[in-house]
Amino acid sequence: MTTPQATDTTTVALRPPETVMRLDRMGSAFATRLSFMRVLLRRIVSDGWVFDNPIFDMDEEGFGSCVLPVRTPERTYSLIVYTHDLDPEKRTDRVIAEAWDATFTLFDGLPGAGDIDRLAASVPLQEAGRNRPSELVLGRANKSLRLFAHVLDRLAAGAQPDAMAIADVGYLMRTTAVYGSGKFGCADRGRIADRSELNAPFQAELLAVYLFRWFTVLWIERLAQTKGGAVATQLSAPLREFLGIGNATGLGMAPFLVKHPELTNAWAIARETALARVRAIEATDAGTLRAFVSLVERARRHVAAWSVDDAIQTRRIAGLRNDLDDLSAFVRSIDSAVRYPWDAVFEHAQVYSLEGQEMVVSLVLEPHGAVIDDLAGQLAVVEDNRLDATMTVAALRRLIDIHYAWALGCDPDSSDAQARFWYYSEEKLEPRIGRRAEEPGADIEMPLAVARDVKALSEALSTRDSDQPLAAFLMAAPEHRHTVRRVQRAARCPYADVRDPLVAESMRPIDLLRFKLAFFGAAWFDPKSDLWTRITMYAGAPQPDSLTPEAADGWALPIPPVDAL
Amino acid sequence: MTTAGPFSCNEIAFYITRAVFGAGVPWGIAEDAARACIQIVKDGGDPAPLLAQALTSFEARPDGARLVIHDDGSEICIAAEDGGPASALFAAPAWIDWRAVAAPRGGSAVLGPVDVPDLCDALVRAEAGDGLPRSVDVDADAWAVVMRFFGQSLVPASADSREGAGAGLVDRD
Repeated sequence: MTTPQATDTTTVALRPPETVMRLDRMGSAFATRLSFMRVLLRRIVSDGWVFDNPIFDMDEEGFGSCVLPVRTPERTYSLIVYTHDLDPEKRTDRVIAEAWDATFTLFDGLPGAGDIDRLAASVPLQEAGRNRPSELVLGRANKSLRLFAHVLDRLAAGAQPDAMAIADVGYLMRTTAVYGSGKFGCADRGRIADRSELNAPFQAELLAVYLFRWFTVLWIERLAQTKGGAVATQLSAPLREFLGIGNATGLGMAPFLVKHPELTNAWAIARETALARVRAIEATDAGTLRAFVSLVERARRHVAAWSVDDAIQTRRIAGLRNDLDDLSAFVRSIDSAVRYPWDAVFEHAQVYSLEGQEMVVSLVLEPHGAVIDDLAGQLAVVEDNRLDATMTVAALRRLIDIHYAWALGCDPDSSDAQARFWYYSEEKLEPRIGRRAEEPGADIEMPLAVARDVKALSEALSTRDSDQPLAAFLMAAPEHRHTVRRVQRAARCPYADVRDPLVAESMRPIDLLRFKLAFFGAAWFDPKSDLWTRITMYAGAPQPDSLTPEAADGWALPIPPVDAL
Repeated sequence: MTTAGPFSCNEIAFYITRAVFGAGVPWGIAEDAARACIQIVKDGGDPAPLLAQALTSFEARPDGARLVIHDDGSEICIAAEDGGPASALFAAPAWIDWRAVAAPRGGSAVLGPVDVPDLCDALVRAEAGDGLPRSVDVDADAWAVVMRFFGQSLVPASADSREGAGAGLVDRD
């Protein structure tokens, strides 16, 4: 699987890493049609996956299990969900939680009775349990206390839920962790990466969430039926589609981008290549322009419904609304005779806020699936962390000068530059961030201070013989091995690095989270602090029983269906 | 023999990288130790006894990390500076490095006395990148040794550390 190069045949240059890979812009990212959820749903439809009837095995109160199988052309996958009678006092989003309303696994195949029983013992334990390679994904979720009971009561009484409550929360349940890639004994990524249906990033995890989302709707309707009997009703189609799956994403996701430079690079290059291709389109037609005008209006409604408590994000949303007001007027002024119309839109947006600029990127990509969807095949890469010890000291110094000039310019001795450190906590093996001057553990910090470490490497190299192979340098100074490896990888991956210090006082981990979550396809970013955020996944997406080619690709920028209630 | 696990290769990498780091070894060296151990798993073996031996050996003899080479023009020999057994944790990546340096000139790189030679051989195989990930049950006693070092890479929880955990006071919906 090759990584798209920055030499894709377009007449427009890719936005450079020094523009794209800055924390403030990364923290303004939005989902695009290349986001992983979008890729999954397009594949489900194009490959003709079949969702079989879910199999419920629950008591009168709705506790038990449910199996939701889906058949692809080559394989069957099954989401197995276990629901639990959770003590409200134990309900928490934190990784340190030990019990949940629901736990689930994506099983490789169709489970037998023995599998169901075995997994009933291990899956609810989550991190404390052990799984097998037949389990591809492990996850858990809690009810939205604000919404679940309300929806259940209304449906049981034969009525639809309150529109504003639905719009305000957006999900019946939220996941607090979704593990794949070999965690807790589950299947390693390498075991399934060659499967075409799972090759794109995080497809197994996102399939599990997609199925779980369907489960939440089916479950609440089932509970309503039990409670209300003949009076009970089902959720209306617009509500079934609007409701997503909430998620509380914390620091655990943040180091991923640093630890997987080839992946980070592949995702960024795919998106930037897509943007360059679209900007290079010389002419468009009236129909596409009209559709784009409608899309901008949809974006305005989507953002109008985006409301959070966080003061910083609230200000940013206000700025984005102003930007979209301007964009709406601008695109109406364009006619189909304009050359390079999408580049004109892009350039016009360069005076917008960062949220506005990145929203425009997502918007101009949206109508151009025929031009860019092939780039989804370049999102997954084989990571190569081998080190070239034959390289000379001089050659490595040149790489540093070329690719890490931004790091060399940092002042590691400033009080801000190294104010924080990343580490693994003994408590639940959770990544956390601490203050170097105030907390213990900096001596065992995770190696995320890329700028500092590259600068230190550069200084160490300056004392060595230029013609010396790195083998000699590394034997004498093994403490630089990790950074040497990183510099060599970065030379192949220009978008691999975040071009801001990741241990500075001013750094906001939530910017890393949002960048990754945007690639997942998340919406409704709802920061709760600089360290974690709520999001909603699959909001507006068609449910498995209403997937059509049009629906599979037409759910960007979800809008609360207030009018439909 | 009692076992622990089964573990995926990803878990092996996670625990072993941090165990080696927790032993006071630089992160880049720890990454290579994990690669070697994953290769052992891919080959159908259990890396825990070898790694436990390497960790305790390094703990007892940190001078095994100080390496030198003897280069006679055709063969490069990697050995501990003091003449004793070299630590495989450090010798394995050094051996990979010098093999690559020696190869273009038709030479070779060899290891002097090493505490855990099999770990070094595993890293050589890992360089070829063969094998599929698989699940592994590990020797529980050896794994307990590895976990002791793993624990040294973790910061004990405290009120301050929970503040840096990512979810605030309002974490119930």
